Amino acid sequence: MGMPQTPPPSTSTPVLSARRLSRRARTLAACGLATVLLTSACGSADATDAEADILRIAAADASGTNGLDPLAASAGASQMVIRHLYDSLMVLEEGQYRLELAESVEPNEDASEWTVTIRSDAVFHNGDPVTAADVAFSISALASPPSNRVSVYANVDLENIEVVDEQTLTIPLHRAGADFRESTLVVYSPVFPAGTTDFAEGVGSGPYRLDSHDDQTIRLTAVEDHWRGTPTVDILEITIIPDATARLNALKDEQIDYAVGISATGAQTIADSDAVTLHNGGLETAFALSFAMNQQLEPFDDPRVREAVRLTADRQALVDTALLGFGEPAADVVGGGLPGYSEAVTARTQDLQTARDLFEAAGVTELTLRAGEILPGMMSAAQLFKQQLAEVGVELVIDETPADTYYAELEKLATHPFQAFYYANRPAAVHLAAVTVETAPFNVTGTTSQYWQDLAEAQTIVDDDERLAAFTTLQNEFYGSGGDLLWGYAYQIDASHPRVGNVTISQGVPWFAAASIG
Amino acid sequence: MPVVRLIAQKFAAATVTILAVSAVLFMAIEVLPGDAAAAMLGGNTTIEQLEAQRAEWGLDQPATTRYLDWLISALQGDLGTSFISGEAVTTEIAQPLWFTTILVAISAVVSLVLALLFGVLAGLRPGSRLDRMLSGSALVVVAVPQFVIAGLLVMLFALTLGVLPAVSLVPIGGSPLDRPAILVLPVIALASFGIAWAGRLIRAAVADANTAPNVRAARLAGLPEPLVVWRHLLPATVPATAQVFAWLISGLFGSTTVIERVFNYPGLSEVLISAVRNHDLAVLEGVGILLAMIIVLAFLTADLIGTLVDPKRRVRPS
Repeated sequence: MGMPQTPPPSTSTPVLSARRLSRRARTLAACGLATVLLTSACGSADATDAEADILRIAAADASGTNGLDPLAASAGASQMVIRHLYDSLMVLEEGQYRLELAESVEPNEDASEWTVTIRSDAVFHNGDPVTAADVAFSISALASPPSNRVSVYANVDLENIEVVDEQTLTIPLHRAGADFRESTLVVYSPVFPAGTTDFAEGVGSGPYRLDSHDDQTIRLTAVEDHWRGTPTVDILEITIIPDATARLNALKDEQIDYAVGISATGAQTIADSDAVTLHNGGLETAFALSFAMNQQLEPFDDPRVREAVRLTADRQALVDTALLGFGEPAADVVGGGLPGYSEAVTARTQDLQTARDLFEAAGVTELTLRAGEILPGMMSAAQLFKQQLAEVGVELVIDETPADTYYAELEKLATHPFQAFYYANRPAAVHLAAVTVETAPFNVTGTTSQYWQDLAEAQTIVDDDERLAAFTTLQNEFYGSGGDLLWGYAYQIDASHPRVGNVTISQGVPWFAAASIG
Repeated sequence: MPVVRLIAQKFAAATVTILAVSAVLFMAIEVLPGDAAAAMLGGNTTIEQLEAQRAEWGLDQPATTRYLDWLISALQGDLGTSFISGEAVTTEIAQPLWFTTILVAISAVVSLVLALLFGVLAGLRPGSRLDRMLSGSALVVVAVPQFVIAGLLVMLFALTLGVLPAVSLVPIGGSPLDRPAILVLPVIALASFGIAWAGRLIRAAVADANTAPNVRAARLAGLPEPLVVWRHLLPATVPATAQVFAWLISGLFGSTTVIERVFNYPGLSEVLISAVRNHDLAVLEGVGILLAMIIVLAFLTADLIGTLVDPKRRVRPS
């Protein structure tokens, strides 16, 4: 239960039981109670940890877990804990795919089977070496319920994974997949000891080990002999603070040193402050915001309507209004600023006359957009886009859905023709393979069977340059006639005390192992 | 009416109320779009995997079957297991419930003591300058949303004066009582409304009791004013004050959902928000029923106090 045995000092004063107290005495007692509270407050306001080698971080979390369980972690604090506690086979860092625990990841001739060799100097926090058997177990666990990453590993033939030796294993696929590295391992591949079913101990091989935790805060300590080298910060204290305003207040009050994800409004208020430093994650860690059109449903099965919708949008105005300028216009294909992005894909400029003509030709005068505040500013964007559509004679009806239940209606997500949506900005090849394929849970743009076939063929091309060219063609095709009106990228804005430096942000997750505390 | 019979009747009514609360909570979560399987598996799933998870958790069963299954277990003392964390509901909510209870208990005591003071000072001389000042201030406080008051408190005491923490960060494995400073602003935010609201009601009760014959007779007999108030006036306000206190407990538990969020206080609000978002029925029912029991107990106590201090309500009518 964890309930403390010491009674609260403020409530132990027998104010109400003193039957013979005079009115004055009762008044004094009441004042005394308040004084006890305030005195204790003033006395311990500065009693928080303030040692130089502790970095106190606050973030929200979408998973409702504390981040020790890699099968349940989601965006936010839990993902940050996973990143520091567990090594992954591969990661995306500073816009590049990098090997981490894997020393090499190589395909066979037709990319139907991959051979992974892992580092020999990686050690779990319990002292055991990391082996190929641990990797095989981790992949199987991540690919099976109750893991929330099952779809990432949907193409892996789990039953036939073979451990070759201590450092090597082969991973067969159900169908050839030359993009296995970027579409699977880079997306999520933490490794934990074989046989782990209870993750309460948080045993990984990452640069930090679990020190202590409760439901709100996790304390990690640096692993001195880690293969990456000793982390520069001794202790990370990661606290879940769900509300962005509370996170910023905690930072201003120096209760924390680093706030992950503050609101655009909050960022505006402190932009000129010397007491706080803003960290802009840029495109690499941005969210791509879309009004997604399902190409298989009316009226968006008509390419003229899709083009008209895209030409109606004033993207800069949407970014300025909905994101308060903390973002930039997007170009209808996810992956801007990241490896493999097509040079032919550029943000369309508003062309109201052409849009009006196309809508008239298609006979469209009204559209219904399903929208919710799934990210800050999304509803403002929907309202502004309604005004922009009105300029070309189209009435937009906004079907507002609460953000908390927006993704719970899977059937509606699959069948609504037009809905607000957002994606993590990932390399285009990764995004197209994960989101626009036939089996994708959220294929909200309703890609066609011909497109699926082209995508599947591109995924089988083993030569990196040829595969890149094939994916570039797919991007251009999606840009020309796909179903996304991708109007903007919303930057992730973090804030810290000015003494905190050298924090890199990758895929929304800050990396503190090389941070500095001045 | 004999006290024992009265107590039995009140407990029967309380049981019906708690059952009704459980049914309403169940229906409320049923009408929300989606379910726990969709919430847990999120976007990385297919319809087939979703259906399999629903079957594993019994979510494919009719609503009445699921409710009755849960109810029978609950009546046997088993509040179930969280879909999301896999932990027993009692384990999941024990600590947040304790933390929220600490916050509410301190706020309730502070509220009641200061509301009594306000009520007596203002109610003894209705219409006086002091009464107008206190009642006017109370009206302003009641009219301002609590999250605004909380925000102003943070701005003043934390970010400007720097004497109190802006958010309630509890030491790892500890409790708010280990760092009392984190309780002060949430208590002030909660109690300000409680003092204003309860103070106005107690003021009315005091003003009413002030005109009673026994109070006037005591004054005419020359008793000192403090003694008149203590012996003759305050006892007459006990039934009303007890009811106000019960409402106060109810209101404070309700208000914590906002205040805890503003101060990041680790109480029940985040558990509740998470349970609703994730359709975690067992957790929602567990929190709802325990809160309902606390509130029903507060009203039951208030009724009994009212009965015990009022001889007319203790005896069977002739």
